[in-house]
Amino acid sequence: MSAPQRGGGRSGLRPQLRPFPDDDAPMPLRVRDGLAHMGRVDPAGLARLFTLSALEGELPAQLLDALHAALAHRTIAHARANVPWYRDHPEYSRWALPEGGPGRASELLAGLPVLDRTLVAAAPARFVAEDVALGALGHTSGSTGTPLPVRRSVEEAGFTSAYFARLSEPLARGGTRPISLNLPNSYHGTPLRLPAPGLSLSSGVTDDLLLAETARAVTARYDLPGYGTHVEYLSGLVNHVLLLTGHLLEQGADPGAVGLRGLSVAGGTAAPHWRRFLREAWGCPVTDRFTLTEIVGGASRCGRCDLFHLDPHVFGEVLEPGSQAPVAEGPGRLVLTAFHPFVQMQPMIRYDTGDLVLRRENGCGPALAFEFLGKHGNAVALEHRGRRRWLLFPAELNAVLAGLPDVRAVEWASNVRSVHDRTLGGLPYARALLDAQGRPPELRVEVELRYGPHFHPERAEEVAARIAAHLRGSPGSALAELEAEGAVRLRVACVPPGSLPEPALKL
Amino acid sequence: MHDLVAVAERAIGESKAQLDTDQSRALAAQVTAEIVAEVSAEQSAKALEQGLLRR
Repeated sequence: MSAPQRGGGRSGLRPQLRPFPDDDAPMPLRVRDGLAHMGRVDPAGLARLFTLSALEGELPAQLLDALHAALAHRTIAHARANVPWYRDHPEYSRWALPEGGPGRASELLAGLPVLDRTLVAAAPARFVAEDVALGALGHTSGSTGTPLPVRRSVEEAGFTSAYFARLSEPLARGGTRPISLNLPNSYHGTPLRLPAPGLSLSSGVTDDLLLAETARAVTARYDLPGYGTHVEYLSGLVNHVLLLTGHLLEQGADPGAVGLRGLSVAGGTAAPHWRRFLREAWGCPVTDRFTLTEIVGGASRCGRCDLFHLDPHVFGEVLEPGSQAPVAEGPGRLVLTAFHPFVQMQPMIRYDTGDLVLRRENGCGPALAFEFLGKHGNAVALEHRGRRRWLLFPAELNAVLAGLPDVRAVEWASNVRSVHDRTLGGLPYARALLDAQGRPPELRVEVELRYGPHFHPERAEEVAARIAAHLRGSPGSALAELEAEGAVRLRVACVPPGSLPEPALKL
Repeated sequence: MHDLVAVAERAIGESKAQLDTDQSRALAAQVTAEIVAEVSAEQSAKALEQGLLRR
């Protein structure tokens, strides 16, 4: 194959740049080159190809790599033709699909710059494509700084709508279409509108009136020709779903009696304790979603291996912090690429999410599998013998604290008077500080209890010991090893109510 | 695109793809989790206006 051609009209993608690949070429290569160089991409056809790539086996895995390579070609061709920032960087004009073979999937985008939020936020207009029309304006939450505006085009909204409609078709087969209830995320501007496979109801939990309406909608029986008789799917931010669940239980209602087939939570960290609680309360599978506003898509926690699996239409890499060296297994920063035509107006190629993840091998398939560890800036590391060694990950601290009812949590729904426990899903009051000047350096973890630890000293000691044991056993952490060497010391301190500042918005 | 889909189906095995409906439904359910998290309230508002909901 020769290098991809530049230009090709405003989209940068000229139809039929080269003949359809040889009939004798292996299927993945034929699909890659055909998809890379065709004109308009049919969303239903692409959905079918991704569905095939999700099947088990070596060939579907090769097909997934081929789809990623083809869409990477289309994404870069479009960006360098239409987006000032990419147009001005020579690395993008030099990029080309590997010739004569598929190449290594892990090296698909190697060598291209890695973007971060600060870079994009400094000049957002330079990341905007000139060939599409603005359809919606969203923004990131600003949990790690200034919110980043996120522009979505009319064109990409149309494509993603058709794509997801095709993917969700199997749920609509068999007579009736499902009713779903969504507690929408209003914290990121205008949401991308996607079609539901059936009827989607929408409500909320952030005031008493809304919560009462939601409780009624989720427990109601419906008589709608062509639809199911009750809500079968419930989705929303994890703290919203927890508050609703707590409210139903406080009212003496059994969430399990609703008959949900699936519950989806997103927009925050769902600690293992809360995932178990929701699964048992509703009696259905819980899909834990990892998403971010800048990328259309994200990852879902797998029911088999309990790790996040990246959506097939998103390309992910795990890189060493501070370098572009790939991480095959272990902690690293998550770098994502949103492909054209899913994202058209504000392309994000090799975008550093700011999140640390633990990359793991798994037996479930070719998708990138990882555990979320928290924001990079909130993790604690120590330089030891010239190497960065991780001591504490915020998601691991949250995981152990979520299972300890002694720990004070943020009463985030303080205005909702009809719920008595308004802390469900609220982040715990805790902080971790490293005194690197100590001999040895000391990692001090302070945890605020709901009561004065002096009133229940034995219980407070138990709590501290449990936290310490969990942190020492966290996968990817070198804490236990360095403690054994005498290179660091961990101290967990339980402190009375009112001792610590309110926790950050995100882990 | 139709040709590419046919090439992939033939290579992977169309019958296998059809047999794996459970897997395709599981994928759809996962995708739906995302969809219902983003869907607009328009449909439900319309249904309410038309008096379709009976509680």
